[in-house]
Amino acid sequence: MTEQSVTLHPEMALHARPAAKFVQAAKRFDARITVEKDGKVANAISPISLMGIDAGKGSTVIIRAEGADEVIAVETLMKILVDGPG
Amino acid sequence: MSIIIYSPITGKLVPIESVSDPVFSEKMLGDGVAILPEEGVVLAPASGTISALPASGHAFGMILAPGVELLVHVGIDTVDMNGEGFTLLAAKDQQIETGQRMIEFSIDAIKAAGKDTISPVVLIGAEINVLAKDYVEAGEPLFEIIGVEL
Repeated sequence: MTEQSVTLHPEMALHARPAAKFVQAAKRFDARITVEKDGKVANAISPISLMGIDAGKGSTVIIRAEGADEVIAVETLMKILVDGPG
Repeated sequence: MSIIIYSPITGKLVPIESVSDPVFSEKMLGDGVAILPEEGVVLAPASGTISALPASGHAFGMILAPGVELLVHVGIDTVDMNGEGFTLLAAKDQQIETGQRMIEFSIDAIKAAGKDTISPVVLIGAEINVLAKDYVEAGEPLFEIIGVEL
């Protein structure tokens, strides 16, 4: 398993549009990926569960991935959260 | 029996493709319909558990079945209003019944904030068949979900 704590870009929050982008990226990997905030865990390919952990602007989350491509998955998804809406 | 989603909002129906935000118009999450609200009330579109409901009250989501999710978004970019003009009548993880009052909002407040009031109702993870035409009252059938049984 690969995991990484990430602080979201100050203008990035996991509401509808960013969550949709995040899910589209997460779906490209075979690894099972989750995002955790304050003990609440979301499935990275479920937009509603991502919106449900209330990851607001600049908050810190943990991305975890389990599977053959877990390292690149975590790196790619981390970048989306850190770079923010572009 | 197929799952029917009931309209959360009263207003004119608009094609989802005409919504100004590409996340909706390009169906990045899924297919759906958009409603131009005439009343500032949002009713539960289905029975189940609220899976996402931010404190800002501008949207909420339900997971209807594994991989089948529903998002109701009141206005566009209304997350920026930080809850101003929105009153929450339900909470995350709450069990709700179809037709239950979930959110009250001020159409004027959304307009005053310079936002579009058009409100997408989006189904993620399955196809829909739209049942309503032109205009819908909150609580009337909006669309049915194809190929998913409860």
